[in-house]
Amino acid sequence: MKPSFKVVLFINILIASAIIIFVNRIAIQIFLPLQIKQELKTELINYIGECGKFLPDREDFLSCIQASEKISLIKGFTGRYVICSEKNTLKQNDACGNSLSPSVKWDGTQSAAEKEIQYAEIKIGKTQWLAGNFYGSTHERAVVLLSLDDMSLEISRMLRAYRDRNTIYVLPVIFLLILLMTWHVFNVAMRPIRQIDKSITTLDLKTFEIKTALVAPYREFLNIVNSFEGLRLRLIQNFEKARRFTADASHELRTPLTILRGNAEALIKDLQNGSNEQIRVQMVISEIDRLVTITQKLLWLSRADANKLNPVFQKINLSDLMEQWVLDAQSFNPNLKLTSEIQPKIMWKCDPTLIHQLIGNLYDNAVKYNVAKGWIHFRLKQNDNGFYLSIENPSSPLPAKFEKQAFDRFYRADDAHSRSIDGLGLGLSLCQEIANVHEAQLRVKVSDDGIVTFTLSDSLPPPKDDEIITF
Amino acid sequence: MNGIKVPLIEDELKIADFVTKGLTAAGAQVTHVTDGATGLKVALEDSHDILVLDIMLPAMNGIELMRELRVSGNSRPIIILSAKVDLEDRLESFQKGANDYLPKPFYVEELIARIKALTQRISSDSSDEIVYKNLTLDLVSRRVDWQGSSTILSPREFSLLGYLMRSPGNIYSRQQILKHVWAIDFDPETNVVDVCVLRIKRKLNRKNGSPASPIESVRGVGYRLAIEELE
Repeated sequence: MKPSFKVVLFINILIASAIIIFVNRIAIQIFLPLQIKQELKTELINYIGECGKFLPDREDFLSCIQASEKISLIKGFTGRYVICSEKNTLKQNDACGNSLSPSVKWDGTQSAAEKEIQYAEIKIGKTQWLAGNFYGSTHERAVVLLSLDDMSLEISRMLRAYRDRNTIYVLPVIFLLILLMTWHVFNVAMRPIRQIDKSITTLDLKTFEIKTALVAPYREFLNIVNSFEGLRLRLIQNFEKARRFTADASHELRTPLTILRGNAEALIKDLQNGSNEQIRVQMVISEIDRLVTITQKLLWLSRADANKLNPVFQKINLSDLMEQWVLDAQSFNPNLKLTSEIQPKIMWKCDPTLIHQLIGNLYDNAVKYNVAKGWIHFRLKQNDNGFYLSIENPSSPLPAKFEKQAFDRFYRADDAHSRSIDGLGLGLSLCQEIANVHEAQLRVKVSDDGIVTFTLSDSLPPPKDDEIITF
Repeated sequence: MNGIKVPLIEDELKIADFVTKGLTAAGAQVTHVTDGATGLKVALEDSHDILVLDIMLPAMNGIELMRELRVSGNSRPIIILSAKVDLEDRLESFQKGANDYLPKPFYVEELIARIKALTQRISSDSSDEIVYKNLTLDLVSRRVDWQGSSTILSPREFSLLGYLMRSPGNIYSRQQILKHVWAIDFDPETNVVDVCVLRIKRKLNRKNGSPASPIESVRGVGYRLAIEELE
């Protein structure tokens, strides 16, 4: 069973969406902290810059920091400030000592107006510090140090909190949006395919006519639509050519055959009854009749190809038709054992002339390919699906491909049979076409012990009191 | 069929030749014309008993000719001869006024039988019997009367005898009889025709005690109604 394009498309879009989300989250994990850190650093630098004027007074400085509008952003850092002074009026530690060292390279500030504030990132021991170098209100140099490691921890904590909120509230919404987007994209992608599919399914496989015109919905489909239409029209033309050829050939043969037979008939009357010459002319007439039959069959097949067999459907008593055939068969071939199982009153809506021809051809086949002192069994029975009609007979060994090729035109069972048995190999093809026009099934089965069974089956209409043809 | 006038409108000369010979031998007066326009003129001007007409004709095709004829008020029977055998063609012919349609190739005897049937239908009130000299076949009861005796035939026997009686003296092959009586176009490699003829002979012989039979077997060819026996 072929996989569903719908499912494949859906899965692919979901996978793509999952990858996008995953990459996005990784990017957030890696780059967001850096970005946040940078932004925070800038913010901190601004705040420190604003409040640095209170230095070296630590309390005033911290009060200024806390009074900042965005205190919530940096309130975690208040405990981590280290404020250092050249005059040693504040706590001195290694950090201060290092920060006040002349070796520290300070960056300029962003604003020329604040050029007395300088910044640097100093690593002291294992800790990374952000340092701000100030000349405070008393023009005394002071340095404010902030632990960047602590800031990183705080950022990580903030991100974890953000991620947790995201997982609970935002992710399900995103997932739902992705599903909806996938469904929408799928529908948009499938729309032109469905349109083309709808047109193609209206194609009549017998006439190749299409009920809904095939139109390319987008230019990407132009090629495939044009190719299909070209193929369809070519098929119509070829079938019509083949049909016309067979029909014209059949038609053209009729006139010379009429002339041949008419003159042969006239000649027979002029000859002495029972004379050898009369017998010979009769043989000629028999062959002409055979040609006429072949011409007729070819014409029927050509009409079947063009879906123009034009059956005339009537409700008939199929059981009576079969009974008559069995009676006739008993007259035709008294040397063959004929048996039958015919269920009475099986009615069928069909073309009685065509079905008579079909049964006749199957019977003819059963006689020709029978064995010496053989038999033929006729069966007509009703079943759950309708009815089945079968003609069964023993046969000499048949080729393995017989079941597959029996209904092919001009197929003969094998060369050995062909030499001794009359026929052109059109009878069974015609039977198949007759079955097709009735929307019935015609099958052949050869058993291991060489019993050939042809079975015609169809569903039956509900019984009604319509006009019935009796035989 | 003695003396009946039959215009034959057929452009294929070889077909017209043997049809004319056959109809003439059966007693008809045949006028042969090769195109539709002349055929219409002949049909309108001369009184005729039945018209035999091809469809594919030069100058005016058979369908158009028929239409013109019917419009003019001519209601004489028309038999179509045509190589076109589709149902649509037949139906169109009947719609335009044909009384019968014989597809090509056909047996001349078949044409003669149909001409007789159509002309007798017009001239006779009763069509329940086929009578030839002292042989009478009742179409309803399947009873046959011959040489003072009467017997009922089976459906196949009745169909066979009726077929032979359509053209007394004409030889019908076994193939023709099979096709007409049993409606099959293949040879079932059987002697069923011979068996059926024998049954008819036995039924008739049993009744009148005479070994003679109205059906004659023609060696290697077929059967005919023995017109000599029916004098």
